[in-house]
Amino acid sequence: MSTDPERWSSASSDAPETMRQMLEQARQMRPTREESERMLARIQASEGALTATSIGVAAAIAGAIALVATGVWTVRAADTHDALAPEVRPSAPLVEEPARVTPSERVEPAAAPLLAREPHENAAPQSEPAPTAERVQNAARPGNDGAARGAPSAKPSEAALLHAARAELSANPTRAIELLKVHRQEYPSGILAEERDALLVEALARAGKARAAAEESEAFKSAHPDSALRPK
Amino acid sequence: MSEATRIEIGAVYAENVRYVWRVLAHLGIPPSDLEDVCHDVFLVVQRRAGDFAGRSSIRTWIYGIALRTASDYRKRAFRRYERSVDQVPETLDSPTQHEALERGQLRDQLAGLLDRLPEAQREVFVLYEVEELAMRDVAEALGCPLQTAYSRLHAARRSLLDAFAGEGGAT
Repeated sequence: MSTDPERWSSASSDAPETMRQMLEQARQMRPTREESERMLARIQASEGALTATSIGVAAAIAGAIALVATGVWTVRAADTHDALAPEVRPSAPLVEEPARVTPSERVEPAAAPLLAREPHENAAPQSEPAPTAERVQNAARPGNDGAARGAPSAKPSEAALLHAARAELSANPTRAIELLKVHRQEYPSGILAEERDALLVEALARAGKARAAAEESEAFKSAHPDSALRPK
Repeated sequence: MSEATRIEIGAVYAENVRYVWRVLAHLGIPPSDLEDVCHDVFLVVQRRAGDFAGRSSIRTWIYGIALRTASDYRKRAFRRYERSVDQVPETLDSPTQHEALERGQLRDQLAGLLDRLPEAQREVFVLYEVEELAMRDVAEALGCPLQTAYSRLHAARRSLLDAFAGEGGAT
């Protein structure tokens, strides 16, 4: 913009020299590689949790459905299971996915495809190792039971466990719960603990375990009072 | 929705994380919370992907989110943090010490100066002088008229120069 004043960092500006140096220094600031990777892992792990940001609402909906619509849920759950990836149909009516929290503005339709992505596909170059995530994810797929349920030789990484749980969230919430409990056991206060706890509420709600979901939801709120994943 | 409205969060993250990190640091987020707040910014980016209208560049849009996230953080953290703005060492003894600390000293000094600015002026100053956005984009990120952005920049510069002189900071 030609009308913009000359920047202080410019050599010909009338700012004091020390001020120029301070601004120069300021521009050098960046996260370390470790910090950057950790944040990316957390963001990707949050993708699933974001589908149920309104954690309390998730539990409430699951409870209501258990009371009034058990039949519908059974039938629709089977449909959903066949479809395997309900997230790719963001405009699908709520009844097809009763435990999913979409009525509020928290998950806008346009954001849905983004949320449905496989985390390792859109990983930036510095993301955590994709092969590990993929191995655990494959191991966790319902279709792969025979080989998969065998114990992995190495302890799966935090992010890999959460990716796997997220992948199971809609089709097989019970399996997702198992994976999240493994995470809780292995990494009780891991860097992804917050995302795990949020996902667990979502998985319990989807599995129809309304009471457990409500309990976890309360625990989540007291454990992570400032979390961006908690309902506003 | 079309393919075009999709946002690849991994790519968006890789391209923008250092800008978000830097702007948050200069808006006064303490180092201990930078990672969490930066993470929150990208969660919002992800959640609001559908709102990105393409009126501005995606980077400008993300700056806007970062400003609001930082502002929310400061409101929440107000009672939890007491930060001294006068922690700049007055004198330094040995030349080696000086060299070793110069970098950190300048950073602390800038932080101390920025802490004295009203939030709205600080935002404009940081976006223009550190992030080097054009003023039009600064106004867009803030959601304020261009003239308002200019006058905030002017006011911020004036108070910074005054504070700087008052500190005897010219060294």
